Amino acid sequence: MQELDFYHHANPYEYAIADTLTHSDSFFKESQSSNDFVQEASYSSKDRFLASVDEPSPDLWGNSLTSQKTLLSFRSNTSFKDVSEREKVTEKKARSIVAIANNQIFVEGEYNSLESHLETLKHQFPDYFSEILTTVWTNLFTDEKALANFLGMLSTVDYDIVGRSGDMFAAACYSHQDIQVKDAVVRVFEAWEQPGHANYLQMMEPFNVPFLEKYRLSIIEYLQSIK
Amino acid sequence: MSYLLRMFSSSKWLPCLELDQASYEADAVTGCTRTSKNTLSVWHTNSDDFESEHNKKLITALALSMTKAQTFDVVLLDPANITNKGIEIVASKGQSLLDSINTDHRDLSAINLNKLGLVGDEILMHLREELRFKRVTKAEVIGYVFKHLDVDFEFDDLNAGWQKEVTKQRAKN
Repeated sequence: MQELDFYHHANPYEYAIADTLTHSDSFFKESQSSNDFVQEASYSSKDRFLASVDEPSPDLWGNSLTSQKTLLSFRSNTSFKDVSEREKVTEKKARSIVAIANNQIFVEGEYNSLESHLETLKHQFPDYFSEILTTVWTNLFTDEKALANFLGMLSTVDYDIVGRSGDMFAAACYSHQDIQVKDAVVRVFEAWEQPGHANYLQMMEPFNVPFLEKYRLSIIEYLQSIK
Repeated sequence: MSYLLRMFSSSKWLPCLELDQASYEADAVTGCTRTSKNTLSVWHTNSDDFESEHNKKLITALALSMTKAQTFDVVLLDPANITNKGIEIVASKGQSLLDSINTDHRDLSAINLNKLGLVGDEILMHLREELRFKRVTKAEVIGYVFKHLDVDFEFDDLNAGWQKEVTKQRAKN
């Protein structure tokens, strides 16, 4: 099952390349002839997977795989390990952020450590930062109290630190049914002062609490007024 | 008619709207009605108009006590309701950068667990009836602070978060 795990944890982009390079025909035939795909995949080992590429053969479009083989060879020496390491780092750093969401309470006007922590992570792991935030999202989304609390703290973080990763995080949270979470999302977009975020707020479902809906509309207007 | 202006967090109290006092969420009590020396800080005003100059000054004082510019909620409590619940209102000099309003500061004194619940009742009544509360946006807060900057206080008087905000705003203009 370890090998199956390898496939399931591979970067989807790499997996797609690998799928093509291992001339999908034979791979699928094996799978289809088996009564149990999982069992079949478990012995579709990394070695066999790579060995299959050593046989020059056309890809799905009939092109030579020689140059692609070189690419895969490079990947086989580095990426499998890198993917594993990347996941470990991502999980670990995401846990450190989730801990802040669970252990510190957001109070307007009071200090919290999220900004300095995210700033440090952004500096130390610039390439992982987006994945770290995504992992935080998946961890917090089912805990509305922690999520609303985290978003409150996120509203105190400079937009320069979170950038596009922050956009995705906040926008994805608005689909939550909890009113505190949705209120906090508007607060985040307000605090970041990015004119483009007015579009997100316009696309969001209106609040059924009058003062919150008034707030959402006022923030849309405010963001649109920023030059 | 007089009122007591207090900062509060509507988002923390919203889940308590349908609850009885004993069931109020702890986060609302500990995160919003946080005491110091068993007192709750409020500001006296004679106007229920959040746009009045005096109330804007009070809101500015609250904003400057924050670590950085942020959105927050304010409510105007009725002093009669507070005293009727057995809570004493005591004058105590404020520590705001706006000297002219520091005499308007009051403490709700000798607050205990029971009285915290009673203050919570008052806040929730305002939320339920949409009565005399306002969400002050970050942009409003910044505007209020700039109005008093270099008049009632100097840049160097501000905390680090506000100095950063003022610098950022000045760079924009």
